[in-house]
Amino acid sequence: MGAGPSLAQVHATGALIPSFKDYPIAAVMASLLFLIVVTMMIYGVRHFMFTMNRLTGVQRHPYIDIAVARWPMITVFIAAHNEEKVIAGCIEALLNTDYPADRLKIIPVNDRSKDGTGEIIDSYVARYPARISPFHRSTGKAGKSAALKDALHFAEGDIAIIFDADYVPGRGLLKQLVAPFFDPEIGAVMGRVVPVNSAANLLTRLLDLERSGGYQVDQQARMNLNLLPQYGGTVGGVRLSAVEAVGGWHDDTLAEDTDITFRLMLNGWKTVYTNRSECYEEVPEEWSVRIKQVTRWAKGHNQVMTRYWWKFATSSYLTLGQRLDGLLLLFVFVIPLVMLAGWCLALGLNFLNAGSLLASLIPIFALMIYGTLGNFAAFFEIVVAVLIDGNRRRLRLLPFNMLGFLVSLFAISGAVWSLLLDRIFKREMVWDKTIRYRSKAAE
Amino acid sequence: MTQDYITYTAFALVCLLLLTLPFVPAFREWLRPTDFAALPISANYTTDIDHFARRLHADVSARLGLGEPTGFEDFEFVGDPASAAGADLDWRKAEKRLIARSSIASPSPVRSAQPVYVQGSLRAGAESSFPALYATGDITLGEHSTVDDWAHADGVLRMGQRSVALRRMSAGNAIELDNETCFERLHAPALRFGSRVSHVLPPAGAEQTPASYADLPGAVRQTPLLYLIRGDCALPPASIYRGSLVVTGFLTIGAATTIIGDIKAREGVSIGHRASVQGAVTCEKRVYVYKDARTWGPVVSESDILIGANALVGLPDAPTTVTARNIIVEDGVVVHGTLWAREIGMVKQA
Repeated sequence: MGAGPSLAQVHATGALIPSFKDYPIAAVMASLLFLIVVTMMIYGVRHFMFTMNRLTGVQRHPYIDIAVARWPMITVFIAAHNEEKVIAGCIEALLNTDYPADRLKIIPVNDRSKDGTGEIIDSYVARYPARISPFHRSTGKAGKSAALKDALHFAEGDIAIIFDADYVPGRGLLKQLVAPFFDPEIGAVMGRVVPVNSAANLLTRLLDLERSGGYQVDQQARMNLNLLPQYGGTVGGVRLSAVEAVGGWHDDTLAEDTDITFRLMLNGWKTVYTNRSECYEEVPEEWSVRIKQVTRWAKGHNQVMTRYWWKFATSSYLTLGQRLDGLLLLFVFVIPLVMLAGWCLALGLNFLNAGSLLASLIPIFALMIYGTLGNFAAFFEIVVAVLIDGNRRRLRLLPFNMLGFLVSLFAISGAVWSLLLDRIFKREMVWDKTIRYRSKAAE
Repeated sequence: MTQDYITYTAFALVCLLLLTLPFVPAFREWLRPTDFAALPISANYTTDIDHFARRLHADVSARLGLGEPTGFEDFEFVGDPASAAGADLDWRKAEKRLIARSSIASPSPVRSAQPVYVQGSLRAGAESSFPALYATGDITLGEHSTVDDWAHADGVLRMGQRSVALRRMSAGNAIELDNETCFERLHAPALRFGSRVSHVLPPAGAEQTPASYADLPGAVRQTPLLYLIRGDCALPPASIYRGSLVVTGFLTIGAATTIIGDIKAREGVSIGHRASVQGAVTCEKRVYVYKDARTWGPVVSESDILIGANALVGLPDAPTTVTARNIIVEDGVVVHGTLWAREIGMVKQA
């Protein structure tokens, strides 16, 4: 580290970045770190703006008041793979919905289940033959997106609503999710997902906080600002003619929801988030399951990012704000790797004794951004979301969310690395199903 | 040197303390949870407008021994010849919800501080006021009357000129609001506004020319049944279009033109005289439905909706929803379904 004493002199000259000529390695490292911090600041400002919008902006719920209409024919798909613990609850809830029965077709998509899922579905079909049309799938490509792609051929009407089997939709939920489709510009609709097992342990409680932030603030703010709320693949629906128009349902991705969201958006369709259309889901109760889930999301999302980021950036249908927000959303699962790189760079510069203004200030900025406003420590956003939800004391757990963020940080970074290896070695990506915790007795 | 170490150690300890402090309540909440329940979602939640009316009806039925107990069966009786207390009760001083066992017809105002349930019809004079009101027959309130929370009539609900109908109004047959009445949310098979009897004109079919969105300047085909136009768009009069249309600017639909499909315009929509939209109308800004125009599907605006005299929204066998921040309806307008003004709605004399 002979460069140490010399670099320290940079501080005296007041230069922000060490000279590229005299200290090439340090200069490159400092420049990269500077870019990373700027990127993190952009994400931080974005989250801050979302949160402030949620606190002070006009809240958009344009379709929630459509209570009476000639409701269109819809098909509800229940994605099910070994779901014997939960499938009955979902079917029962859909049978009890207030959506007109003669305009509602329910298709449980039994994708190669090896447990009692198929029998449970058939027992309901025997009782409600006019309302439920089962889709049993024993062969074909594995994974939710592939199963849904096959099942969509049997849809009736132009609207497909999709639930995972562990979801329990309320009576009025279908009407709320279908109402936005009266707007012919809407390609996809997303409701709010609420953890049902939040009380199980520390992990579920932390995920409950995260989910609050993600839906109550993030998604609703995007809706308010006319940006791009994301369709999440469940508790939501798509317009089938729109899906067809943008190239059909893709089954070669781990994140078919993100894939369809971005293809719809870049082709001039809109997605809508309806914050009051709430539905329970189970969140992982074990860290290993959570890591698998995050890894799958990260791989799928990054697949979409590599496919569409340029088309999205150059789409003529989008406003500048939509383009910027969409790109930030697209790159969100790369940021943990970037952040890790930032930490390494900061550490490296420290060991190089780069006592310049840059080296002194950037770690402070970084700490501030990461700790309060940053994308993976969006504490302010979570606080506001939880307060809007009417809770308060659970916010005491907030410091522990750092743990969740750290786990996600490394899981996502690993996923990005794994995705690169998949590309290089042309490995097929494997769908890891999230396990269920509900006991039959609890149903 | 030793002093430096002491300073550094003290600084490190202070930092550690500051970082650790937030974890104290965090650990306490983790080890002794006080707030961990899932966010409540009502499985039976719907946006049914007569929700409160049905609840009152259930409570009254329970009180009269006609239904299942609800646990909220505390009522006083009013206007009931069988109850001396009820006959003399001062409605304004009532401390419990009120039940009238028979129809009430009062030329003078009726002012109640408590929700009222009437088995039969209620006719009350000008300047009557109720927090909530249910009648198994008709409700007729004179001019300048006020309902603060909700009202429901199994038959027809009428309110005179310059009345105020806040929150939820519903009826089994029809709601009739006279001129200059303010409202928020109305629902009935037929909503009639103003003092004029509506004379619905026959459809403009005969003189219309078939037309296609594809012929409009800048039209982009999104699906076989949907076109997109960037900027403003004006559809010529007396034409007939099939399919849906999205316009990023202002959409003007010419007089006597029919659209068989849904329309969306971001900057505003104007539906011309005797024009007809046989689908939904969605707009991020203001919607103008001109005199004698018709729309069949939901009409949704994030701003204001103005519905001109004699316009018709929805169909008797296919009720629909009109929703906006502010809604102004003119004399003679008929809406089948729900009218929902998030801030204020008003009946305007044409």
